[in-house]
Amino acid sequence: MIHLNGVTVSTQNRVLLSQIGFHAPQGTVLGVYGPNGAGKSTLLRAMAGVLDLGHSGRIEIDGLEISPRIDPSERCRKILRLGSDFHSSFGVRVGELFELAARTRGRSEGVASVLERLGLTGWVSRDFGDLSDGQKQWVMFGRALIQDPKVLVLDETFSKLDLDRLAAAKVLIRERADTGGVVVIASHDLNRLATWSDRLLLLASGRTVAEGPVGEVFNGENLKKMYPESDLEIDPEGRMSVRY
Amino acid sequence: MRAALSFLVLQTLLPFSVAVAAPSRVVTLSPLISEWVGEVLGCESAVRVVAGVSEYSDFPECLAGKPSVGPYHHVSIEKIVSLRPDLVLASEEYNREAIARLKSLGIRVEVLPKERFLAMPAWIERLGELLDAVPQAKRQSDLWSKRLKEFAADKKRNRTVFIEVQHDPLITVGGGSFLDEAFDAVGLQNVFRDHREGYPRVSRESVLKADPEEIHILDLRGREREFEESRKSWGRFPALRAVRQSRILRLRGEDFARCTPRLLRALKGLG
Amino acid sequence: MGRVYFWVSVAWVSGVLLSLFFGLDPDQAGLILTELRLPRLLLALSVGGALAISGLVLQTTLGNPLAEPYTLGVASGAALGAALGSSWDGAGGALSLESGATLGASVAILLLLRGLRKRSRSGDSMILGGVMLSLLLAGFLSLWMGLADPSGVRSIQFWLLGDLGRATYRTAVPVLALGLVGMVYFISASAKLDAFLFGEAEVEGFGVSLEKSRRMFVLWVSVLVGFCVSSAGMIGFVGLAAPHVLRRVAGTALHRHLVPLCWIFGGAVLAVGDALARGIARPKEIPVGAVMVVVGVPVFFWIHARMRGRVES
Repeated sequence: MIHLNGVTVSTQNRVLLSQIGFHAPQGTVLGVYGPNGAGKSTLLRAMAGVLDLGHSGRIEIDGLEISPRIDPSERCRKILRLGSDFHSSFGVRVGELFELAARTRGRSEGVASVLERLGLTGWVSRDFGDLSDGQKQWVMFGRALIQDPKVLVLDETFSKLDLDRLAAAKVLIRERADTGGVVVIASHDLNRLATWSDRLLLLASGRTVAEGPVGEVFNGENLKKMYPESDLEIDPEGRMSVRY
Repeated sequence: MRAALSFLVLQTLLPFSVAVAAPSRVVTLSPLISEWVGEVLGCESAVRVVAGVSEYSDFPECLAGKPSVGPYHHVSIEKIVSLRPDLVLASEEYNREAIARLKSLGIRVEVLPKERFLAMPAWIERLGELLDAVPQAKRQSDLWSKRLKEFAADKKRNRTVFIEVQHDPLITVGGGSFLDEAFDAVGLQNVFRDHREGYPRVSRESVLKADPEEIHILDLRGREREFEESRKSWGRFPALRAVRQSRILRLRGEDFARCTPRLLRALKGLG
Repeated sequence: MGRVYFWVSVAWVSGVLLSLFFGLDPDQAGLILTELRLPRLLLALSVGGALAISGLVLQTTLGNPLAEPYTLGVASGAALGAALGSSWDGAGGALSLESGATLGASVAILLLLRGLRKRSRSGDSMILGGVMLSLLLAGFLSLWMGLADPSGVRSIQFWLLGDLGRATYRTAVPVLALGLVGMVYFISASAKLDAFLFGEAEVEGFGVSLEKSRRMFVLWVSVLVGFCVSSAGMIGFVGLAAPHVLRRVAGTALHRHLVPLCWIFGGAVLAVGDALARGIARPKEIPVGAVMVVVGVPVFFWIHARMRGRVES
């Protein structure tokens, strides 16, 4: 479903991503991780076709090559990226957001069931601007589910969710993958990422450190490659921890 | 035979007389024009004939109660239309769009040129033509011409003057204003007469450069204190001749504000 | 929503009636109505509606609730053009102000579009550019005012504050036509406008091209504003306040309803303002822009305060 080959992004002064390449088939939950500035967001934006800088190399999502020439309406059916911070300057209601999403999708059946599963049915007339950050993230997640793209990219979208919602999100993510979609998640919590994902992509300084099934990639050696200065290890329970 | 002849004469003359019928509902668009209409027609006739006047038409007093059509720089077309005028008298200086609009509505508008002190007789006579009051206008224009000759005869030596219209910012009379010629007629040579505008803003520096023999402060509103302040302010420049010789004078009165017989009377006191 | 349309329409009708009949002299009423008041009303409705829609679209597109029709500098161009045009003495001096304004607006639009071409994606940088352009053109205008003949400055000062009194059918009908076409366009593009509601980062996520749609919106708004300012001077406040009032009153941010509501409401507000500007101190006329602000701002706050409770419930 996702094919990247030799993807490079650079500005005048710096190279942000260098020769990134990997494949993620249907049904995958792909976790993307790296230290700050590793290029995670840049990569996710490039994949979703919303990176101003543009990229060289090839990005193919479900058979569609991502380039500036693509019609956004076609592209967002294939891949949709959500960030972590959401904001509206005007009094938009939650229900109106869902209406927009349904309109973009092109149909409105299934909206009610998504709302129900996320417990958002009663939220329809609430002002989006009045919500807390975590609530906004949850509502936006609901919107993404309504829009139902083939590939869903979540760039730290769950950073402020409470434990209940995180648990529900994990289930929903799994379902999406199991029903033929792909979910790409970037997160600062490598431990959680490791438990949610099928495959991991580890980045550092714009390059791939490792990419592959979680079991193969999530090890001390790769941690060392990403954090050469720190003393990291995987403890017996399979969790990364820092030896201070 | 005589009847037929007089009938023929009447027939040929009739169209002319209808076309030049005296206007009976006149609207003026500037206070200057209002005042002259009053001067030419005399109060009794003017009150009958004038239907509306420009705002601030305070002279003559008999017309002060007439309906106002708005200030001279922005008249109300609606008001003018509602007065059903058969003649609107406008100045060429203002209201170009309003004039065009009124004409397009089928209202007769006659534009009078900008007033020039030395050319007033012709202006007055033109006004008389439009009002169908030629002999009365002629009287007024003759009076004006007579005064002009008197001024020329009585003129002693010319003095250079700076005429202050406003102190802050400093505004003076320029060559484009009727006042420039008026003062010149009584021997007061305006140092800024080369300016094309009517009331240019000038710097104090330029006044120092021109070094006039006299400074006349035009006090249109009768404010003693303001005159004193201006005078003191000039006192800070002893380089000026006018200051050293204490030739800072006050021109009192709103009679200087318009090019009318009042101005002639006011000028007599100078020179 | 039906109730909102109802009350806004009531406001519209009131505006029309006030504009036509307030302070009407019974003498020559027929002529005054058909030749003076009706074209003036048409222009007020058109300009008010167009400015309100322009304000709405710019606020949405630039993602800034403080944006208003003059943010991008088109109006300053028109003002400068009008000033230069009016001081062009000579034949047809009466028309020079309008043609100068149109020319000035066009130049500003061209400059704006050239700036847009530079892929400056951020709404904030567009606002900055627009403000700079406005300042520059306003600076030239001040320069002109300092050097020009005071009587010329006088006549344009009135227009600068907004002047609907120059309205004729010839000037009003094109603005009306353009405004209606513009409204229809924006209604049809309301889904695209909605995509901007969560910021420009989210626009493409709703399947809308950020660059293309923004360019179209800015172009349309600029043309509308250019026409409005050329025919009626710089009337402020409507473009900024009407969208805010309607968002509160209608309780929606979606443009499918906001666009037509803005059109109707903006026209109504300007018609009322113009009626007051013309009638309150007659025969002296107050510049309509001044009336809009002096009356409009307190009313705006009153509405804001009253609506507060309703929205929160």
